[in-house]
Amino acid sequence: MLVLGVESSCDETAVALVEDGRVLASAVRSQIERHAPFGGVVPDIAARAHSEVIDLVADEAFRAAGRAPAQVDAVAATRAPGLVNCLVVGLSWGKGFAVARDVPFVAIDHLEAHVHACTLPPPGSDDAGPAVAPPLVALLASGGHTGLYRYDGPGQVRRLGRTVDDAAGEAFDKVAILLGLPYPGGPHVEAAARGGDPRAYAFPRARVKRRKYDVSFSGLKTAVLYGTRGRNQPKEAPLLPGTVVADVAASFQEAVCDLLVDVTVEAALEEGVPAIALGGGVACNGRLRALARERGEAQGLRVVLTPPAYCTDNAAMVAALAAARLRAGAPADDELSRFAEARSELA
Amino acid sequence: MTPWTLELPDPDATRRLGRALGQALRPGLVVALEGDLGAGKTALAKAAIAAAGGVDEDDVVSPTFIIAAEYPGAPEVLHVDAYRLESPGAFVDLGFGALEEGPRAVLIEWADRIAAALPGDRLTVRLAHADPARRATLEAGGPASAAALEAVRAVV
Repeated sequence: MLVLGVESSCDETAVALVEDGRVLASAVRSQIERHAPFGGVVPDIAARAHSEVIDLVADEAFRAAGRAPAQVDAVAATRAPGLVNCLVVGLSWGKGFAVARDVPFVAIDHLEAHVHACTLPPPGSDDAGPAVAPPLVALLASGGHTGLYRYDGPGQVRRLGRTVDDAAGEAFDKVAILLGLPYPGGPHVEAAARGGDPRAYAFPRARVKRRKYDVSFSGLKTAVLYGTRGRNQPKEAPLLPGTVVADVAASFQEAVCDLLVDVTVEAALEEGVPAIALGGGVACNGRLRALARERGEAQGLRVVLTPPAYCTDNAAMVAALAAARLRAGAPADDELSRFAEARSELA
Repeated sequence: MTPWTLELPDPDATRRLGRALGQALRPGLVVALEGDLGAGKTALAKAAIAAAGGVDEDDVVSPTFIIAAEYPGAPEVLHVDAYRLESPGAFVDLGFGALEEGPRAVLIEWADRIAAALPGDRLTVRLAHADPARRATLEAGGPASAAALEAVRAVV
């Protein structure tokens, strides 16, 4: 079965083709450079860009896969969560394709797709088998979302915890602004942290008392602000004398990774699952990957590090999840009538 | 209308102001939250939305990524983050016009970025880093927001 996947929930336009468990092509066009001057994704610019490039990205996917549109057996597109004016571009394109070719259409939750991404074989491999089988506990951390999920298979995702304020990637972006580093914050803060002392600053690891696996990042951002400018100073204030940016970046990164890995490992042990998985753009962070492996394996857990190409937004995860749902016999009849939504029940 | 300024010495004070604001929300009231990174805009919004009655404070998360989130309550509240909007027109293009006609109350972070798309009768809350912690300045732009400001002053 050849499944076409489409993803346009934020600033990546992506089209992928997945056939019988193998990713034949995963084309992604990023808009990072368009948004960099603004320090983040600008929704109206993003929506226009999706419309401009989606046909080109689809052509690229078909070429790379060596398949033709007439061979597609089903189409899937992300419907939520995300920027509604961006989601509708890919969703409408996918619905149009499905109607024109008279093939089933599957509407996909972006967060479930990110969780499912950990089962994908690495890009370029001929491996058709899943990289890991549920049950597992997945940490999903990106610029828009940070949540912890128990995954038992397609359609069976339960949220265990999440951020109560800023997403982890949002914290990286905001700290990048405080340190005068460019957008996107994740890779730039990670690069700045190299050689820095992660113990130079005792930044907070904030867990929410009322709910076991909930975390908070807004206080961390303010701690970085005050740690570099002095208490109750605005971000325009000069850096305190002796501030070493590498030390601040390393200490901040350590606080984020320490907290996220802690809740993930703890939840996996409590849930009694044999594996943990990391997904979402923040899961590209090298320190997060290393720490998860170290602490997870020390507890006897299998640690699945989703390949970076499937951590950031992509359509392979969308097509793969749809294929898994169709294999399980999930009905796809009424999904053409599902519309785009900013929020997800999983968020 | 003269602006009203109060000191917020700790996060609990921010939360108290937020709760008072939440109780003063009415359909069609627009609250413009202004202030720098880490000044407490989201903290204030979380407390206000929870106090409007529909959700737990922990369920209100930063809307930076999705731009706008709607919460149940009395009244329902639309929580907007304008940080990533290119222009006031972009906000209107997303389907948000004539906010003062309701049916929701609206809380907007980084509202100064889209001021031209907002009604003149809005309650502006400016948060600033200050000694000992934060300072809030509230200013009404018309009769509806003036009534809300009075209601907030009466309980804080």
